[in-house]
Amino acid sequence: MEATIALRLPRDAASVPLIRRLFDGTLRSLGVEPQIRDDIELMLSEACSNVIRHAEPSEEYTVTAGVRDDLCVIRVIDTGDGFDPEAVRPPKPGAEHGRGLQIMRALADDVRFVNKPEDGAVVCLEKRLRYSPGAAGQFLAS
Amino acid sequence: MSEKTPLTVDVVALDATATRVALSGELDHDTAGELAELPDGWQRLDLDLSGLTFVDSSGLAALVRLWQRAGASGAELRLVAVTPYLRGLLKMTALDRLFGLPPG
Repeated sequence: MEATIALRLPRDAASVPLIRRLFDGTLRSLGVEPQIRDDIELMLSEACSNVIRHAEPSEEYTVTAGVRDDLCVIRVIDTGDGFDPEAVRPPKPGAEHGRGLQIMRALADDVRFVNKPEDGAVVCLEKRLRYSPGAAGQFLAS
Repeated sequence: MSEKTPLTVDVVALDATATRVALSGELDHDTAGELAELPDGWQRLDLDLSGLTFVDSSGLAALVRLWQRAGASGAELRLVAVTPYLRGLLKMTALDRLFGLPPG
């Protein structure tokens, strides 16, 4: 089975809870285990919030989220100036900001950042899914 | 799309110097600013986090800001009723030590 959702959203903070709820509802329908859903909800939110904060001068961004068998692949694509994840230092203990990347790296099974020289950046997050017993998604998996 | 994600902030004065604040709902990019509006004047703030269903890095930043605010005025901030979900997140970001959570 392969299912993909693609959304083009305004680069506005209010879009983040919207996409988060939408995607969490989809994963719940497929019967993905709650803990995996929590992880995906958070890493997806961090990737989107990153775009909201930093992807000047994009006005819109695109989120695609696909489930193929037991793998979930999320891509968050903006048309901003791109950024260098290696240049982001881990936050000092009492620092306010800088934990988004740390969270994405901890929760995703794979994180890739691709800067497109002409037009923006892509964050690609992968997560292995686990299904609850008797879940719909389990039967759809080949 | 201007509707805020729900965060409820309940403030209870325990005595003249101690305040308990219970947060419930979602503490995220959209709602984190509400913590800045908490009143001053406490010597100890117990932050009850048991009702939070979602916290992201902006939510954590708001908690750190509150911790800095407490430190600047010589007050004490304590996280109480930390759920396993939140404990995992605080540990992942090394904030469990900042907030002095017991290990485990």
